Amino acid sequence: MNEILTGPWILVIIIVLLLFGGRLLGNNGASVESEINAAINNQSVQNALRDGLLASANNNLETYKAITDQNMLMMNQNNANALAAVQGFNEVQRSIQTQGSGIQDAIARLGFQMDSCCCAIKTQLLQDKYDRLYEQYRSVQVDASNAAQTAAILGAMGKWVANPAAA
Amino acid sequence: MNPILSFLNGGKSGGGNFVSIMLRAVKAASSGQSANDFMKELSKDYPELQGLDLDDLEATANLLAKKKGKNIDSLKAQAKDLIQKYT
Repeated sequence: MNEILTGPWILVIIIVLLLFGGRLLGNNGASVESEINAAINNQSVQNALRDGLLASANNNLETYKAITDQNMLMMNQNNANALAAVQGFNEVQRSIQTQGSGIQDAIARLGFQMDSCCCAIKTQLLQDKYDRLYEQYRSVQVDASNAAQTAAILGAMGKWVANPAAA
Repeated sequence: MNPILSFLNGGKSGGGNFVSIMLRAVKAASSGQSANDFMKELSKDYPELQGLDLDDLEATANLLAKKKGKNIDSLKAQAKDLIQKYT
């Protein structure tokens, strides 16, 4: 280090400073130290800004993650609700179909029973009518038979009266 | 780029090689190399040094300082300050 601070080496640094120093030479009277300190301050500000942005980005990421997780939860809940609703609807529909089927069966049975009952009543009515007619027929038949017998007796008796037998 | 390095390298208006050359100079001086040889070696990498009298560094430094309107003693103090603080 000491070698460069003295003799020809300091001239090397001066030549390099003059050729490549840029802003180090064009400071308009401001000290090098103050410019470097300003640069350090600028660096501090940049670091603080970077840290702030990083923290903000992390917060944003956390927030985004939280929102995404919440959305996912809501979606899952919605899916579960939708599924439950569909299952509920299916259950209700199945119940309605079962009940409808039961009602149809009951109506069919009732119809059949009514038909059977009606048929039985009709048959009974016919039977009753037949029985009544048969009774009338038998009565007429008996009357006719009696009338015939009476006529025959009366006929025989008439012959006897007209031509009494010789005593 | 780090703004301190950017500043030492000349910033927006500079040529941009000051720090790296200064570090090379410190290393060369520590190794015992002569300042003139170092400058001649350096001129192979930097065309800005070509055409300068690298055998008479005092005259060259004075000439460049005059061209830039700088005081050679102030420059010496500035160069020492930079070396002590940042190498």
